[in-house]
Amino acid sequence: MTIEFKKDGKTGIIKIIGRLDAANARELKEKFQSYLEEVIFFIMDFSELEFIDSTGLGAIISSLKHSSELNGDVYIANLQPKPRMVFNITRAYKVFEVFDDVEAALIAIKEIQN
Amino acid sequence: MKCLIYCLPEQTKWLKEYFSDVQPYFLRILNKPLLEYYIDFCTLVGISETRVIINHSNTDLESYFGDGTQWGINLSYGLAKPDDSLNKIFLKNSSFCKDSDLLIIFGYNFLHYQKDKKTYPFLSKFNSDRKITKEDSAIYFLKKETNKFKIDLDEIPEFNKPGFFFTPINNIQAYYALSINLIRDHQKDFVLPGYSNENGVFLGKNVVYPKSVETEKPLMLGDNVQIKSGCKIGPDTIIGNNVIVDFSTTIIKSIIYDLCYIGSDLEIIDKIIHKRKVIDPFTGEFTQIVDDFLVSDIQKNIMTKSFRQFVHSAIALFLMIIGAIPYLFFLGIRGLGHLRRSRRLCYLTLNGDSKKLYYWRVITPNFLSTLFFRLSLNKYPLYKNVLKKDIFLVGNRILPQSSGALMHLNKLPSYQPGAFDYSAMVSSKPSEFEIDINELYYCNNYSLKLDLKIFFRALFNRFFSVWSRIVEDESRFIEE
Repeated sequence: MTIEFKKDGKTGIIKIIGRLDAANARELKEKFQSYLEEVIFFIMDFSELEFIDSTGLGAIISSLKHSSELNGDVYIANLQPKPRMVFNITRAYKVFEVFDDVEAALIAIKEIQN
Repeated sequence: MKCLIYCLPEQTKWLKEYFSDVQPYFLRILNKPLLEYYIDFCTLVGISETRVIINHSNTDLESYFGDGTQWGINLSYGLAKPDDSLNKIFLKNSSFCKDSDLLIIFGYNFLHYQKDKKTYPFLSKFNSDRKITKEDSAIYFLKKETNKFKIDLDEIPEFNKPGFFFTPINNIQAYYALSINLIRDHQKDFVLPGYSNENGVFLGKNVVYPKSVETEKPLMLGDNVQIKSGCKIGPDTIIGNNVIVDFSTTIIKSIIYDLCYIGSDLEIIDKIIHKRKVIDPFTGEFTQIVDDFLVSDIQKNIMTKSFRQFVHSAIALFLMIIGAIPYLFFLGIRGLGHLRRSRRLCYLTLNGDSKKLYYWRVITPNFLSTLFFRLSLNKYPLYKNVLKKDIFLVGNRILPQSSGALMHLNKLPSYQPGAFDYSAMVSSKPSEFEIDINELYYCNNYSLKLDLKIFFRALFNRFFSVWSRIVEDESRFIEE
């Protein structure tokens, strides 16, 4: 798994490439903590996320929890069909805002930030 | 033009009471899923791209419809939070919604199209945004130029004489009235499953009934329907797939849903039957039949389930044999180990059936008591329940009876309690939310292979985990 991070104004865009599972969920949690020192609103770009399991999902939920504690939020963009199944069956869609693309998620986040 | 299909969970809430395991878009109307009518309509009017917004947790819909190729349409799926407004849905699906005229089917509706009608002028001739509304549902026609992210849907003018209408399916009465109305007067308007050798009769594949069966049209029989001699079926009757109707039973003006056994010498008039539920479609009242010989459900994949249960029982028996001496040893010195055995009423099924199950708790942890738990000997009494087929060896977490547990139970698509559960195989302590996710993940993905993986990992984890992790596992069972 590769994690790419960039900032767009007050929003952090985290792109996860590859698999997010028990083997690397901890890495995401740790990196997220460091990103949280810079911004509190995030978009997770899953355009190149190939696989996610319940531990990986747990890491994203943990990120949302930490961000929410600071009045921030985590949005999801570009969710691919296979990871979407996991979001679907685990009802994670009830917790996250899921957008077609990063641009739409940015519009939604900017509305909240303003 | 594209089509966006969306309905709010509250619009389909009524389904839960009557068809608890049926997804809203999968509800069969004349033996055909509702979404298939939408897709047929889209194909008919030349809409090539359709997106269904899903706000319930199940993947059957996607497995069945796939990407829509079978229907000659490009079908995609989106996810929504339960309270998302249509404006939010536009934003979330922005790349789909922009750059095209958009038809939005909002609400839980049945569309009254006609398969032989080639043109729908209301779709091609509208010059500005229009809508057709009925009760809490609506169909919107939005022009490509409309900024869909900033639109006020209430301000859109109503269509004047659209020549097209829809029926909201907002309760069991509406569902029944619609089904009977369609089979009686509008069967020719739609492509319906089954072949028709005469007007008003639709027969699925592999239908078997002897000559002594009296039938009166209109009538629809699904695939794999068996009707025994002396029965009277119809008029205005819809029987789903995989249904058995036993000797001398009469079914008139009724809907028998899929996977159902109807006993002999019964008279079913003006009823809906789903599994064991007999529903009065006029009052909405229903009775759950407990006698298998009257009405019961037919289970799918019974061979796979039986084999899985057999393997679970075999392992439980093996564990009982090898664990007998250590367990009896600990039973003898339980005072030294500060161990106490109790019983508690626990849920066994999604319907809330329960039974008292044994569990062990530690009063003060010491070497003996922790060893007892590390060796998973506290599960020993549950192996007997596995052999009795009350529970599985690996399954959902066991929920002791309480109002909170019942609420949790209601959220699950299926429930098969097990001595070991998915969360027990996760090495780090899961949060309550993660446990819920694990439970849902298990419900949708359980298999013998996964069960064995959970079982061995859980045994390993227990033996090597820190004590607090084991306490955490047990508290889920004890302190609900």
